[in-house]
Amino acid sequence: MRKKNWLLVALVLVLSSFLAACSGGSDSSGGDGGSGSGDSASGSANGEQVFNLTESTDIPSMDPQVSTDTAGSQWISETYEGLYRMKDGEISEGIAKGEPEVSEDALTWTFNLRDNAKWSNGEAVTAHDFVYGWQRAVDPETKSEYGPYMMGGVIKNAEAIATGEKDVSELGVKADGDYKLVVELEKPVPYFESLTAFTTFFPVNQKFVEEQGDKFALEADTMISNGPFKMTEWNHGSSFKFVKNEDYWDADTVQLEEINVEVVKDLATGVNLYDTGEIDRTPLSSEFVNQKINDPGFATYLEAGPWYLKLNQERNGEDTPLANINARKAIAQAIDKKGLVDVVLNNGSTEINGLIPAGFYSSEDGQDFREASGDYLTYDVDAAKESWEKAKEELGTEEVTVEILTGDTTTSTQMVDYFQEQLESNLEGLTVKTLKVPFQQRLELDTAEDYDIEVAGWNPDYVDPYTFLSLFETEGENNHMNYSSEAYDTAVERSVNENALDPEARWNDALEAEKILMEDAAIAPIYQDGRSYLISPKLQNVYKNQTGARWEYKWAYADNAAAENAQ
Amino acid sequence: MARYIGQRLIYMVITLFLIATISFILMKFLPGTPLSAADKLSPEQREIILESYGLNDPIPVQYGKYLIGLVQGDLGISFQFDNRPVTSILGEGIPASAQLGIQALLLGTILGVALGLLSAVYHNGFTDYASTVVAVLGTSIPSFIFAGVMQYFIAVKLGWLPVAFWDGFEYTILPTIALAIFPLATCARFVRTEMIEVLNQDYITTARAKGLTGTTVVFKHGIRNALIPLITVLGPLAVSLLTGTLVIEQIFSVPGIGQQFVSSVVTNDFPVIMGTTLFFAVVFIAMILIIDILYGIIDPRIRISGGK
Repeated sequence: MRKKNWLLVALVLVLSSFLAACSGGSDSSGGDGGSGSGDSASGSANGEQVFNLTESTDIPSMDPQVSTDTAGSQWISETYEGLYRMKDGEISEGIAKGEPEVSEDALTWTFNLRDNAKWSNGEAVTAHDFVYGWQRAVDPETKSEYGPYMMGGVIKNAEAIATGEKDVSELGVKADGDYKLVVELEKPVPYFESLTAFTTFFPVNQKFVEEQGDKFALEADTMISNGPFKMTEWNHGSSFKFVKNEDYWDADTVQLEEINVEVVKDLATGVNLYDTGEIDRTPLSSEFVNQKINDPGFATYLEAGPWYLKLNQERNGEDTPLANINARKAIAQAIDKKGLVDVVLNNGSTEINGLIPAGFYSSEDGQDFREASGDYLTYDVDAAKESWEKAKEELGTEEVTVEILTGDTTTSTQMVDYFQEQLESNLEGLTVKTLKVPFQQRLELDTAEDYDIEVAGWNPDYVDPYTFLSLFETEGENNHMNYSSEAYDTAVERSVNENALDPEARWNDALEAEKILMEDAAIAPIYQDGRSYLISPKLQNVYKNQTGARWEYKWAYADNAAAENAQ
Repeated sequence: MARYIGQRLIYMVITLFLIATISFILMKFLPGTPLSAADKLSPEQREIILESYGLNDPIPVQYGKYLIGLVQGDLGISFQFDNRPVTSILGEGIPASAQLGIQALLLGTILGVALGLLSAVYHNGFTDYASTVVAVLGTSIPSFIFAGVMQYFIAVKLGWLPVAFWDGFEYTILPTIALAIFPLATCARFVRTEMIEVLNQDYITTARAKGLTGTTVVFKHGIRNALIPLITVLGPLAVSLLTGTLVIEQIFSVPGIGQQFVSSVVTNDFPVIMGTTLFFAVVFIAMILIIDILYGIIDPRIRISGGK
């Protein structure tokens, strides 16, 4: 039709490749939390005490017992307070005063509550609020997903109540007067204090919840707070606002006056908003890392999220090639993890040679678990080839085909292509097929154990190796890969039963369990999740947590002078 | 005419019913559950929660319940946003999406028609080539690229307009332009072709022969005839805006229903998926009806069946 079409096409191609480079991508894998560090003790609060932040989604629920996601967990933790509060990964004081009294069998825990804690409507926060909140979490009527998950097998009768076999009044939590909470557990739970800093365990005021009925926590004016901040505006789908809660028992500590949060789904938009100074922090995807790495606000944080390949040993009633231990070892050692994190991921992730992530859990004397446990299944092509030859001999075949199941995001796709290339070129006779599906479908295939290899990761719910180790017990709800080791099960269970009250013995149990898991090459550890951000120097004393609320603002303040100096 | 519209309304209801049925069935084929922590619950716990949401009922029962609610104007409760009625989620998103869509459609068609006419009148001249370049770029470069570039240069580098959000008229300008590019380019190309054809018609030659000035010929005899076919493309264009908003809303953080639709599909939020699908369907069907009626009004040669 037009003679000069080719010229236009060329122009468009050039233009669009240039545009693609500057508009960047918006892979949604990041942006839903992360961890910050209150790395600066210098400086002081000056200027307006206001933070302007973003979330990648609206808050699905501000109901502590119903919430399941990172945005909800973040803001419920700022507006409510449980028995304890996490500060920089450590347990700090909350509504409970001091340490709990623990009975000799470790099954009865008594918490003394402070008598000066108030709800934002002026009523006192009492032990009854905790009892009601916890009962509500396991009451089938509430339809809470995290209630049964977090409390089942932990608090006495929680499981039976959640399945409707017992009445909520039989839950192992009682108020002894207004300011004493007595909790009975199913079994000794050494990490119980850290659990109580999680939203599911937060108190709610019975009178208020019942008054609001279906409307509870749906709007800023249908909720009350007992935490450092309270929500004053909630424009669904676009923004929300928190201001300092003057009724908070420790209001003197809180310096921040206001937190404005806007919903920004697109990462490129977030960067543009940061560059114009409208927001104080934004997550970065790998495309932006190279561009922004010299920005004074550039920061990366390591998350407590290990990623690994699940090696399924039995699919549809038949052994997969991965039932062979040498085949598993070969696959685990044939992937160059460093290349993956540096080139493909490029977002602050690091390679991992074990299950328990670095910086997550440490011994009584301060040694990090990852360091103590050492490296397993490191990248070693020669060892991989040797194991592979043995595996082929034992399997009696020269040609092996396996399928890798993964998600359908850009990162997952790039990652699985990388695995395919590495495995096929390092292991002769191995054919790797890939299956990229949406998250929900991956979950279904995982539950049905209908895959050979799956790229999977896990985020911890409380600070204890058990949150990861329990995944691969024979009866573990998330095993789904037909791994079963008696020695492993024994070590893991011992750490929460016989040895529950002996930190040193538990530490050794966890080390032993990880060693067994790795020597069996039950999973192939790949990398520990990292996140990159641009963070304004204005944000000071924002603490980082690995569980629950990823960022803690109770102690935070704005140093506007620092922000100006940086420009 | 009234009878015709009445008939069409009945068809509309039937169409909607079919769309509701088909989407409902398709949705049931989506893998997974709407539970957000499904991977953490034991199978028994999962069943209890699904049961309490009525998701374990046979599909015909679920469908029946859904239809009864629908007739009563109840679209159900969202799974993703616990306890929030779908009607209020849609209600919050529609104003922004509608404003954005209407502004973009107006801007796109008005500028597009102007550009198309200019090209046709100055056929094969500089104006024609320039507007052709604009049109080709506009149809071939996806709107999200324009959006990204404008956001970077106009908002970040020049600081003339806000980067994102939805807080007043100046916030609507960039997303409107980004969304208007496609209808603008489409209209321009379409009008140009039509206008050139019309200007070569015998009656135009006659008009010129009678001694009418160029402007009168173009405005009085040309435009009216060239614009009639444009109405046909306006419907699909308006619909393409609906899908265009999905991306544009995300880039400019506009709290509309487009971005809501995407996240509801990803999280298996069945009631919200149904609600948004039906809303889009209603808009689409209404658009087709309006265009058919307009046709009859603008061009008397087209007779609507049933109309007398």
